[in-house]
Formats: sequence, C-alpha cells, structure tokens
Amino acid sequence: MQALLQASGLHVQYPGSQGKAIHALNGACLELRQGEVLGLLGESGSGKSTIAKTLLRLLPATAQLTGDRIEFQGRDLLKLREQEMQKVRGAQIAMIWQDPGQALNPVMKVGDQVTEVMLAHRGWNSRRCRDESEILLGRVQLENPERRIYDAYPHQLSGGQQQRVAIAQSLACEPSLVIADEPTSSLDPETEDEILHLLRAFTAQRKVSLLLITHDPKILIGLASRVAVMYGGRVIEEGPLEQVFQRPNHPYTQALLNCVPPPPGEPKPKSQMGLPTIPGSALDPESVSTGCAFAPRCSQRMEICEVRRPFPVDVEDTSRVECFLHGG
Amino acid sequence: MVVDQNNQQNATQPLLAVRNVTLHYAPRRFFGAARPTISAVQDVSLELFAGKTLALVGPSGSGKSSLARCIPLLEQPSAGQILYRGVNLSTLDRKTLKTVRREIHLIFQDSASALNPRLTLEEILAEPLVIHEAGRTAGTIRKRICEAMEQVELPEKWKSRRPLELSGGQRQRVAIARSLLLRARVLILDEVLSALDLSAQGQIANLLLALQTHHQLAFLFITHDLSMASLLADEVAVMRAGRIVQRGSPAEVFTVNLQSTSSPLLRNSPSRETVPATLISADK
Amino acid sequence: MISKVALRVFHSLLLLLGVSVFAFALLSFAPGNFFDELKMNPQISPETVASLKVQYGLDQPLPVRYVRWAASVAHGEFGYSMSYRRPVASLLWWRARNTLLLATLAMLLAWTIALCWGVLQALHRGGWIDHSSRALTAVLLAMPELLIGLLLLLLAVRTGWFPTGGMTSINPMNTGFSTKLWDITIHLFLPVVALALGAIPVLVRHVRSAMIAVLESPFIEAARGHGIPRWRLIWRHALPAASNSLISLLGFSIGALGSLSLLTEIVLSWPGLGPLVLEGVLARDIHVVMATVMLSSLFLLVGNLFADLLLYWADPRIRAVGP
Repeated sequence: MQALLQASGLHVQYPGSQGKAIHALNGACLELRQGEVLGLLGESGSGKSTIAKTLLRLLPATAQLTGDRIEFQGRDLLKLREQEMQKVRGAQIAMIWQDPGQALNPVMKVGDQVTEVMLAHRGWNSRRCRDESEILLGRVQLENPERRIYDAYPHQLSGGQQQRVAIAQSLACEPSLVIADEPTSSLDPETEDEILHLLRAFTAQRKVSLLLITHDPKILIGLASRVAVMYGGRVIEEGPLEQVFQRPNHPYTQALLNCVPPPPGEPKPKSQMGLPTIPGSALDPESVSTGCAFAPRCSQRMEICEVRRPFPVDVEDTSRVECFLHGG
Repeated sequence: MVVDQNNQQNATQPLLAVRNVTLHYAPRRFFGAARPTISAVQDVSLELFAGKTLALVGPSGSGKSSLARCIPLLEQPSAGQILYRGVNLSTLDRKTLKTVRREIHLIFQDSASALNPRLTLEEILAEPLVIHEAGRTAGTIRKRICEAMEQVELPEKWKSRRPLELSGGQRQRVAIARSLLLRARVLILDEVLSALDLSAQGQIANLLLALQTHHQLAFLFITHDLSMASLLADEVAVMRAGRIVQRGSPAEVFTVNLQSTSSPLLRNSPSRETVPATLISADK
Repeated sequence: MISKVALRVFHSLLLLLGVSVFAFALLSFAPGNFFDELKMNPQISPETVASLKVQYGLDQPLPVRYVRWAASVAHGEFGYSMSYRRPVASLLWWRARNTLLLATLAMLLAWTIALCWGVLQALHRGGWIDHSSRALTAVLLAMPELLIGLLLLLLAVRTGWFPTGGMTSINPMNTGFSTKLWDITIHLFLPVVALALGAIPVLVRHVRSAMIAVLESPFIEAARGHGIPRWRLIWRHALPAASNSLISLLGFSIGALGSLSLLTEIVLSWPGLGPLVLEGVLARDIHVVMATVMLSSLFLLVGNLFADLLLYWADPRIRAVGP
C-alpha cells in the first residue's frame, strides 16, 4: 500500500508558566497508508491531540511548530500558506472532534452546518449544497419521521446524533483522510458502538483513510489495522494491531494494555493487589529529559535509558519500537 | 431526633438504606396543558454497608444520576425514604441535616467543574472545614489539610496549585480529599473514573479501595463501565428506566463468554455476550 | 408565545403605573411650584396667586392631583401645561417624533460602527489596532456627553459646515422634497454624531469581548478545521453566536440612548423632547415633566421588549426553554 501521509520530526512548543516551554510534540513521526485505519493510542499529555491539530495546521498562534515535513498527496503541508491550507482542510483532510456538543455551532441549524462545508469547497450553488446535505444526513442514519433533521439545532439532538452530524460534515467533501480525535469519549457505550460501526462502514465504503485517536485500546479492535502508541510527544511503538496488542514490545505499551480491565464477570484474581496501573504520572511537559521519556516509570529501565533517547528500531519487518531493550 | 454518633457499625445493619424512593419531574407551564410527568426513579430500594461497594450500572438515562442526587437530599424524592444509620433524613431539622450531610458525599465525573478554578488547592480543601467546623484555628486546618493530601497521595508542595494545573486524576484526588476532611462515611461516586486515562483509572480505583478498607467507607459506584463495576464491586444493581431490574454479585449479574485467544485484550472486544441480559433490549 | 408577550405587556403597564406614581410624588415634593415667579412680582397680590392656584388645582392634596392627572392621561390630553396654556398632548407628539428620529438614527449609526470596529479589534487582538482603539474608546468614555455636544457645536460654529441648531432653516412651503430632505439631514448630522459618540465606547467594548469569546470557542475552531473561509467564518458563524449577549446589550442601550438624547437635544438645539422637559423643569410645569418622564419610560420598556423578542428569534436555545 502506498503512503498517503508521511510526517516526520514534528516539534511543537507552547509558552508555559514562568518562561518555561511546554513540549507537546518531541520529534513525532507518523505514516498513514492509503485506505487504512490507523489507531493512535495515547493518554493525556502524550501529544495525540496536538499531532492531530498539527497535521491540519490548526495550532494556536502561540505555538511554535518545527518539523521536517508533512508529506500529503505530493505536497509538504508545512510549507503551504494559510490560504492554501484552508483549501486542504475539510476538503482533503477532515477532522472529527471529541465533544460534538461543543464542536457544533449552537445557533446554526445542523443541516446548514453541513452545507457550509460543501459551500466552502465544492463549488456548487447553495441549492445543490443544501440538497446534498440532506442526502448525506440521511446516509449517516439521521432520520426522524416527526421532524426534519436538517432544521434541528445541536441542542435538540442527543450526543450520538450530534456526532453523526459531525461525521456528515467531515465526509461532505469526500476527503482522502479523516482524523477522528476521541470521537466517542463523551458518548455512552451503546452510542459508542453505533458511531464506531458507522465510521468503519463509511471509511471502508468510500476508501477513506482514518486516523483514529483514542486513549482506550478496546475501541481499536476490529476497526484499526495498524496502531501507533504515543508517549511524551513521540510515537514509541507502531505496528499491525494484532501484533502490538498480543506481543507489545515497548514497556509502556505492555503496561498500558495491562491496565485494561478483564471482561465483566470474570472471577477476580485473588492474588492481585488492586487494579493494575502504571506507577507515577506522565512526565511534566515543561521538563525536558535527555533520556527516554518513559524511563522514570519503567519497570525494566536500564542506566542508558536515563541518559540517551532510544532510536527507532524495526522489529519483524512490520513494526517499529523505540526502546533500548530492542536495540536502538 | 438524635442521630446515632456511634461509629461502631453492626455488620448486618446497612449504613445507608434507600427505601422505595421515587422521583418525578413535572415540568411546569404557565399557560397551556401540563406536560406529562417524567419518572426518573421508580420505587428503588438499595442498601450500602460500611466497607463494601455497591455498583449501580445501566444505560444512560436510566436514572442513576437522579438517584445519586436524591440520596444526600440534593433532590427531594417524590416518595420513599433515605435512612442513614437508621434515621429518616427527611425528618431531620436543617441543622442536624447539615451535620449528617457531612458524612454523605457525592463525587462527580467532571472534576474540573466541581472545583473552583480560582482557588488554590489549599483554599479548596480549607473551605469545607471552615464552613462546617467554625472555630478551628488556622494551624489545625493546615494540619488536617496536610494529612488529607497525604492520604490521597498528593505532594504537599502542590498546595498552591490551581485545579486547571492538575491532571484529571489529580483533580479527582482533590475531590476525594475534600470528602475525607469532613470524615465522610458514605461516598457516592458518579462516573468518577470515566473521564480518566486507563492508567489513572487504576490508580484512583486503588486509592479508593485502600481508603475504603482503612476508614470502612461505604461506596455507591455508579458507572456504565461494566468491567470496572465487576472488578470493584461486592454487589451489583442494574438499573433501567428508573427501576432496579437485577441485583446480585458481579459473577451472578454478568454472563461471560470467553473467547479462546491468549491475549486478555482481544478477549475484551465489546461483544454483546459480555453484557447482562437485562441491558440488551429491543426498545433501545 | 403570545401568552408570554401578553404577560410582558401586562408587567410593563404595571411598571409604568408605578413609575408614574413615583415620579409624580417626587416632583411634587420638590421645592417650589409654578407660581413662585409670580409671587416675586410685587404687582400681583397674594390673593391673586392663591386664586390662580385654586384654579389650577394646586391646592388639592397629592392623591387628588394624581388622580386628576391620570384621568387627563386617560382622555388623551396628558395634563395641562401652565406655561403654554394648553393640553400637554398637543406639545408632545411632534417633539416625540423628532426625538425618535434622532435616537433611531443615532442607534443605527452607533451599532453599525460598534459592530465593525469591535470585530476588527477582536480579530487583531493585541495588535496596534486593538491598543489604539481601546485608548480612543477610553477617552470617549471619559468625556461627558455634554462636552462631546459642546465640542461638536464649536466645530459647527468655527467651520460653518453645519447649522448650529434647529431642524430646518428653510421655508418648507415652496421647496422641493429633496431640498427639504437635504436640509433636515444636514441639521441632523451633529446631534446624531454626538449621540452616537456617547454610546459607541460601551457598545464597542462589549462587541469586542463577545467576539473574542466566540472566536476562542471550540465550534469556531472546528469550523476552521473544515476550511471555512475567514470572512464567512466571522460574519456567518461567529457573529450570530455572539449575538446572544449583544442583543441584551441592545435592550439596555435603547434605554440609555433615550435619556442621553434629551441632553444632546438641549445642547444642540434639536427640537425634540429635551428642550421641552428642560423648560418644564425650570418652570415647575409638572405635567409637562411627567409626560416626558412617562414617554421616556415607555420608550425604554418597548425597547427592552423588542430586544427580548429579537433574542427569542435569534437564539434557538432560548426558544427551547420557552413557555
């Protein structure tokens, strides 16, 4: 499969308190192939949301972005001017946000919000955009026999319905890549299932690549073909999903997967002292360490881990990991 | 009525009992026909014991949070009683109720909005002490705050930080510390882990369990995460459309269908078979 | 919906009643009455003054006087002016029309400028446009409206570009419509600018902060993420979302503008309610003052009702709460 997007060497800094800088991304690299679903797994502070905004160049003015390149469809997105970038957003790369209630304009009809995206990029007249929006809203299974969904306002819809509107917006201009940042975190489990199924169906049907960002490994199963794990602003492990989840190479991945609770009803292991967890907390993003970001919390750390940062190492031809345990 | 101050709990007596509680919402209209009343909670009874956790699970809209608010009488139930240490809370006068309310605490999912963003940690923790225990010296208050922070494993030097400078897990620790300061006996935990990262969930859950053992606290653990409920609870109650439809130990309530793969994670795929039958409904 | 409006109208009427009682009492307690000047005149005997008082009913107790005034209002006469010796109503209407013209135009001008300027400041937050604008609005805010009016008057006198008062300078009988229109416009110019300048500083600050809040909100970021072009983003997406707080401000500014206009009219000699009420106050012509007070209150209440209706129409979330 050929690469759709290749980003490397992304560094993002924000000014922090007392003159120190917050390092949100520390040389992150990402590669997405045509038509695939890549899961980006990370906890708060890992940089997963920052990388999404970085790909779309949506960082606030105070952020400093440096990077080698973000290669997308033959162009380097880092080199584009704002005007050109605005044509990419929504049309070739679209984003679905975490909290749909916040991501939708409260005083605009939901149908109009989908129409707006079409008007910005498609070059159709407003009549056609409106008609196409109605059709699209039907396709994301937003139908109400009593009332036209087009005319509804966001607060009149449930969380799941709002997220469907957001999905419609993202697919309005048939982009090549959709980035979904924690699309189901604010939804209850039943709705979460439905939304994930919808995402999978649409991306498969229209051959759209999907970058699915989440902190919950469980939702990637059955959806993502590959997974990349982020910690401390870098991608520390990536590979095919089954391989990473069954034979994780990086200690952080191992610890994280260990934290996933067993299915309900399984008898609790008597010897276990409480729930598995990762001791300590994520590194303060204001501090910069010369060594591996996970070293302070790693149960398998060696002396070299605190001194130098490991290089990416290929494992089994299909995966990559940044850990001295595997070379680097 | 005098509230029993005796801390020695008879092991068979529930610390807090909910008996046949019903809560109706009747939206009022000034003109025009009255809207139909909504029954958020219908005839619910449950019991919380010291040192034990009851998990309350159910789909969203089933009334779990409404029930949670009824227990410390944040909402007045339309019918039924809340008995704390055998005393009906509605029969208490305001002053006694205020004293009793110290011992029943509600902790929410969204810690960021539960804590005043303008106050430092120290001020947030001092506030309930100042309100409930007027006359304490500043020195005593500071000492109690230090003890509480230690119990929830927050470094003392973070006293001057503000809530938005902390992570979600750290903020939940502050909320728990607040309850400990007032010597709470019953904690109603409404989706307190849901907004946290997986590793933080484990940490906070472990902290809660340790505190429960140490102080013999009773927990009502409200969640939609069935795995967590199964791990943490001694008893599970399933709620749907305002009623309790099933009750029992986690093993009894949840049916399990193990797949024969080695990875624990792949066995966790959200398949319908791991959900209790009562939650799968045709009329979703 | 209708019921809600009816309720508001009912409340407003009650309020007007209360205002009338309060104002009447206050005016009556103020020292002096219409005939004090006459008393000063040695040629008029105290008995004549006393009999004049009886004739005009000023010897009656307060409640009786109030009821008589209220009855007069009900008949459409709005009391009797002792200075002009005719029912107040005949004095009121054409002046009220002039004041309304002035206030409405000033309002439109002030809001148009405030919206554009406020949005500009919000977009260039922290830049030189923002800083210099804030300095300018601070200066305008600090200047009393009286001073603004006088400065403009000075401008008119020195340059001769604008007339220094009145509404028309030509004989309306034998001139064409466009000449009349131009004449009124040129007379309107200074009072409208004076009023607008008094109102703009407060409005522009609110527009700026409302826009800044909206521009930082998640849904605007999401819209940017969809590639919505900048200007459409501002006018079609951001401004409507900011309108909630701005419409509330509209209601307030209508009331403020109403009272501000009276002062400006006096300074710039615009023949509206302002000069009338000044004369009435100086002469202790109670019914004239009462009529002006009631009209101002009415203007305020109608303005607020209008703003509330506008809010109901503009913000779907308020419609959801509804009756």
